[in-house]
Order: sequence, then C-alpha cells, then structure tokens
Amino acid sequence: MAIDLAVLMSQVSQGDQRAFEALYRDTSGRLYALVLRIVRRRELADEVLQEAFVKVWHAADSYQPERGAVHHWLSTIVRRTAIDRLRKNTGELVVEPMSDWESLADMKPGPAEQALRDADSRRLSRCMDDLDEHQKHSIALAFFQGMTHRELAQHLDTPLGTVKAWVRRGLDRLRSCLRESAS
Amino acid sequence: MNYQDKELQQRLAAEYVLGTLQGLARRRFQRLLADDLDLQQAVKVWERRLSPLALGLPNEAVPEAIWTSIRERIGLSAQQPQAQMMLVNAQTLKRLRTWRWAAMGNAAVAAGLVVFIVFGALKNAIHRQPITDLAVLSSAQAEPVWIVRQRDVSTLELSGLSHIVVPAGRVLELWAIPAHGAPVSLGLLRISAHDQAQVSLVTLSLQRLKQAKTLAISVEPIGGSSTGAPTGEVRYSGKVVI
Repeated sequence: MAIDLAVLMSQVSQGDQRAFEALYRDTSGRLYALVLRIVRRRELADEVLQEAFVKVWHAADSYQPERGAVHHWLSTIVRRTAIDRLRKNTGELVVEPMSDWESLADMKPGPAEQALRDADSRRLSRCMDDLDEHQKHSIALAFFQGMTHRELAQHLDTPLGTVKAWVRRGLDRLRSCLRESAS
Repeated sequence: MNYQDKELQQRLAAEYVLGTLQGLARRRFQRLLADDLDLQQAVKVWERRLSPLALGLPNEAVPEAIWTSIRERIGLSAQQPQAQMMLVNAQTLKRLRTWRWAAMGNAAVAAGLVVFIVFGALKNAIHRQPITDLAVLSSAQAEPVWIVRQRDVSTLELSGLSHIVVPAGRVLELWAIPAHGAPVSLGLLRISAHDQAQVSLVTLSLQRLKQAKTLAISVEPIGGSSTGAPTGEVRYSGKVVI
C-alpha cells in the first residue's frame, strides 16, 4: 500500500479530476468511518462527507506538505465539517448504541500500521497514555463521538463541572506532553 | 473574557478543535478566528496534534451515491476529455524508445514517470466480485489510464480511465517485468467498447504474473511482438501492488 497521496494532492490542486477521484477512492473509507462515528446518522454522514470533499477540491491548493501528511489534512477537514454540522443542529442528540463504544473510547491512535510508523501518532499515543483514565475517556468520546460537555456528563453520569475539568486538564496535559516530546 | 490571554487562547482552540466548545461560545470563537492570526495558528496546531487519532479507524464501505453527488456539485465530467491523453510529446516518445527494459524500475523514475498505485481503491466501488486489483498503469504524463485486475486464474481485466485510442494496424501488448530480468509477455489486449479490455492468461503467463514487479503496455504490430520483447513504444506502466 504505497499510494503517494502527496503527489495526488499536488495534482488535485492543479485541477486534475482523475487524481481527485483516486484520492477520494483511497481515503473516503476511513474518513467515512470517522464521520459516522461523530454524527451517528447515515444520511447526515453522507452529507458531511460530500461537503468535506467538495471543500477538499476547492481548497486543495491550500494544502501545505510541511504542515503534515495528507491524511491529517483530510481528516481535519472532515472532522471540522462534521462537528460544525452537529453544533449547528443544537440540542438534539441521538445516541445510538454502538457496539464498539467502549473500545473506541479506549482507543489509542492507530491499530493501523501506518499510524504507528507516523511520528506524530506515536507521540500522541504516548501522551494519551499519560492521561488519567477519566481524561482519556472523555477526550476520546468527544473526538470520536462528537460529544459536547453536556452529552459527556450524561453519558458518563458525572456532574457537568467535573466533566469539563477532565476535558480541560486532559487537553492541558496533552499539550505539555506533546510539547516536551517534540523538543 | 480576555481573548488576548495566551493560555485562554490555547484552551479555547483546543476545545474548539475537539468540538466541546459549543453554542454561543463556539460562534463567538469562530467570529474571532476569522481575523485573528494567533488564534488561527493555535487551531492549526491543535488540529495537527489531535488528527492522528483518526488514522486508526478501519475503513467503512462508502455508498457510491456520495461520489456521484460530489462530482455533480463540483461540476466534474463523468468522462475525461479524450484528446488530452494521447498527446505524448516527441521528446518523451524518444526517451521511451530508448528505454532500457532491464533497468525499468530506475528508468521509470528517470523518464519522469510517476507511478500511481491505488491500493484497493476501486475495489469496493466498482465491482463486488472477489477480484483482485493488481496495478494502475499510468501514461508518460503520469496520468492513471488503466486499472488492471485479476478476475480469475485465466483472465485479467483492464478498465480504461479515459478513452483509449490504438493506432490503426497496431495492438496493445501487456508485459510483466520481474525485479531482475527482462519483460515477458502476458498477452495481447482485447479491447471492447467502453475502454474495457481483457487479457487471457495461459499457465506460463500466470507464473510470469506472480513474479512481476511492474506491468507495462506497449504498442505492437498485429499479432504482437515477434521477438519476445517489446518492440514498440511503451505507453503505460505501473507497479504491481500485491
């Protein structure tokens, strides 16, 4: 598996339609999985993926290789689109039971080999391990399930203030850990 | 709230990226983000920090309708313009003719061929049959032109990604190139309508295919190369992905 996404991206930025399709074919499966987990409804997920790839097509020339791998860039766009979409429909939360809910929350970056090879992933993985269980759990739920503080509180059956503190401290700690390991 | 406070900026950016910043606070943050370079930078850094989490997810089958809608929304044509592909410039052709086959791996790079390998890319989308994607063959301009799949032990299927034009009185021949050694023929392409083609494999070709690191297509006289090695120009090539 050695598709060179960076080469594809540079062609997409020049308006190469076939490169865009190849990029879509190669990456959409994993990105769709991410969207589905965040928005939890298929028809919404379909719209989000669509919207995100339309953005990718139009914003391809703003992709800068030095800012990180194409996968990162794509998943960032997709996630941002998904979260924005969720936050627009305020208040309504559809919690559908997910069999892998708990395992997701425990998830560290990448069973995928590729992720393990990636220096950023390894660092993040180490730093996630550094967090206490509550912090890790709430950050993972927010990331993968798109949960708000309130939804986290409800799901974890914990007062809102406590959950907010878990998230905030978790993120603070993540930041200092990632900074240290980067330097 | 003092948005100039660096610590606060960091926290808001982190929660914005994570998605826990919501409602009024999120909208206010988005408004500030539009003009504030520091905030934009903080958001980018957080996106970079957290995005590796997403890499670990397994693939999910994507409904084909999504791609159709994307294509419609950005005004992509279903078919590529036909002329574009065959415009191989004279310089490139010359280089291709002098291409030394035995050193093909390096020569491909030297000749400026960018090889695309689309791993399983179209597997889910186009066919549900248990067929294997073998390679994507690109033109001298690095445009992906053929997807090569193995349908069964005796048939290779090639799908043209653009309109394929074969010069009159010529045929296309598919070659397998092992890691070390000369190219060996896998057979001639039987091109049908809609830019689809098939190559029938005999036992010998199957063994050759197994050892192939690269596949390539050359233009040959009717009946195929008579020398056992490519004689005409090499139009397409690509690495074998499995």
